[in-house]
Amino acid sequence: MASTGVCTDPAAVDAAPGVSAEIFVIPLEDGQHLVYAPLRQAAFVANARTVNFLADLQAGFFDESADPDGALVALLRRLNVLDAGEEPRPITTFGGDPEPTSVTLFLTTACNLRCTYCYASAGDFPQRFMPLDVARRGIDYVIRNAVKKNEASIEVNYHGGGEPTVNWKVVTGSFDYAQRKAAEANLEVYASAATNGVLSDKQIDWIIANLEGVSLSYDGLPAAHDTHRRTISGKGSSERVMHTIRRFDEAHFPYGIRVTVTHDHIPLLPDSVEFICSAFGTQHIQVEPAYQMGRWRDAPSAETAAFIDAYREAQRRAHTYGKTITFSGARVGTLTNHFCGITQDSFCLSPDGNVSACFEVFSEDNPWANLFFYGTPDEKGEGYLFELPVLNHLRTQAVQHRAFCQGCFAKWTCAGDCYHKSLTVNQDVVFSGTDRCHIIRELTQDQILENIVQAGGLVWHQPADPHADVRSAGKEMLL
Amino acid sequence: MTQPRFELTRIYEDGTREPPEIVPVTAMPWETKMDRRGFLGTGLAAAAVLAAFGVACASSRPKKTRIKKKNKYGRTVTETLPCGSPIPPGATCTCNCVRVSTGRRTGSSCRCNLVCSCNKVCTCVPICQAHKLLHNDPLVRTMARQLLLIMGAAQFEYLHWAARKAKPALRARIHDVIAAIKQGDEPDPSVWPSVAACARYLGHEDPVLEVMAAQMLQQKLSVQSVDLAEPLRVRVAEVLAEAPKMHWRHHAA
Repeated sequence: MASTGVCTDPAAVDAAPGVSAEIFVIPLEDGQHLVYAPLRQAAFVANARTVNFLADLQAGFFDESADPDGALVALLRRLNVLDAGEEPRPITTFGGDPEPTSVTLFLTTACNLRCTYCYASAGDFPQRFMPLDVARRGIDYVIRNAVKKNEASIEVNYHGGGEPTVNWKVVTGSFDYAQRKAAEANLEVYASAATNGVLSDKQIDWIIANLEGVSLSYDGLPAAHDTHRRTISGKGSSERVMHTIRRFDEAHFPYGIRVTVTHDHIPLLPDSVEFICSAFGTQHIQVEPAYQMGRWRDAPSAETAAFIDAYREAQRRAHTYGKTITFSGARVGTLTNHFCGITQDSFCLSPDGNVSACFEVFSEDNPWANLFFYGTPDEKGEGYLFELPVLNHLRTQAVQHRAFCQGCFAKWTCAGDCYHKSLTVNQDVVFSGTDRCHIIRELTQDQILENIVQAGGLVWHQPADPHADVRSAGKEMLL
Repeated sequence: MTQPRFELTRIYEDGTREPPEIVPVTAMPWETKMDRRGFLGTGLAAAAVLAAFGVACASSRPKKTRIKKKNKYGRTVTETLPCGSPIPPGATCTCNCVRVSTGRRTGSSCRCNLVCSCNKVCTCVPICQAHKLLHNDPLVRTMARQLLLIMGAAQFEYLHWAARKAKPALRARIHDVIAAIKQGDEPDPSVWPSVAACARYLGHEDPVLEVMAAQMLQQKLSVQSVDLAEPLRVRVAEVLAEAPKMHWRHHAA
């Protein structure tokens, strides 16, 4: 297109340009730099002079000699990096007593598997099962809140500390109860579960008929899966899980697969992901290094550079099947100040009915239970009594309060990563980074570069939808 | 662990006075390993990047085009002209531009009033790609779907307009594309038609197909780094330069 050389908006260019975005600069090869404005969802790769031009502008100095034709300023304006007004920050905050409309039920600490890397050491301790009454109280509570807040639905999630479907009667009983009570209040019920996939056909039928989706643990190549995910008798569980997945696929039931990678299986990750992509229909494959917790606390870390390389190769192969793998902390496109529910008054009930904010802190005897358990059943009433100091401490883990994260380009998408993991690693309530931070930054950088390539190779700019729901359930996001 | 510090600051060690440049990213990140080498192209001036987005005017200061020509004494001189100026006879454009015809084609002839225009990476303006989703040629159908996926959610307004204008079968297909974009489907370069197949549509009597072919070729150039012969590259630039005239809003209005 031939330019006329006549500007249609002289006022826009005559004013001294001003930086209107939080900008991060990430060094790349050959002295080039990735310039990234997360809240404008804009990025490009540029040389040092461009970076310095921007830095000077931020400091109040306009180096006109660097941009004699005004094209750079025009480009940066187009990206809302200059002169675009105040940048909206994706911050939501919580205060006072929580009023959840979603309840997560930790139905049991028992499990039909003995996975070597289980963060919960499920099965190693005396088994606890949630009674139906505990589930009912939680459901009644969220229904009352939904009515009070004039919402249209409630959520019921079945989660772990063990395999929730082992407490099957309470799964079905609580769901039926929720349906009945919600209908009386003119509410919908959305229910989902995390499961190891070792299910009977009857259970699979029920899940397909009633749940909105499940997150299912499956590690890919059967040999890899069976090394770590064994039954109580020591047999591999891959056949059973693959049967479940095939049943889900036949029914077009929405499910995601969660792949856990131990240090010894990092080289197998690309093959495992390719196996899943080729054999099953899921569009959601989440890959995480094994947590050094529970049974795996003394194992070598998988949060390594080798993991990043294997992840990239796995991503490459997934793309050949039209699929994408994800990692919990790398999520360009999600702008939020919350990594997961702990900063958003997440309402999870232990088998005894106490309130925890964290999926990993499912038991009152967890070493960090005092930081995550913030409520108990109100013996005199129908609801719960909350310890606001505990809850408020959790609320302050949102990323805008994390001093360590303020200079990190991934902060508005990672949002501070998992508090429980950082506590386990650092043994300190003050966040000071973990090995996961490096993985998050590398994979976030990959996503930014991918966005640039997909946008034509020069500039990525996808202004955030101001109406988008920025809430995120974090690592254990259920479908 | 060291606190991450990626805030915007001056790069003090940089003592060069090279002009600001935007550097193309030429490979998907998973095609690199930890050392991250070899995925960047040659830097472009901001004006070239703007042109890729169809922005004709960068500022009140006229964009310039440098040309070389011989003066009456046979000596080569360099002159700077406003971007878009006709290239004087015998002059050679020396900037990051391609020569573009502004003449209207009549049949196979062209009046070829050459001007200078910055090389585009991808304009991908929404024209009527969506209405080609049920074209009888599978190659056209592929180009249409892939170009719509490339444009993505940013062009939902266009897609919804196109759907409203379409008959039920085509409307359903357009809605399929919208749903695919919403669920994160991405363009798949492995199914993109070959250069030769795209090139067959340059000069097609249907101008929409011609623009789609040019857009596809431009994508192949920037994403797949295909090698386009100079005449083909120029033709692509010419077609893309004309494409904004076919923007869907003209039809919507």
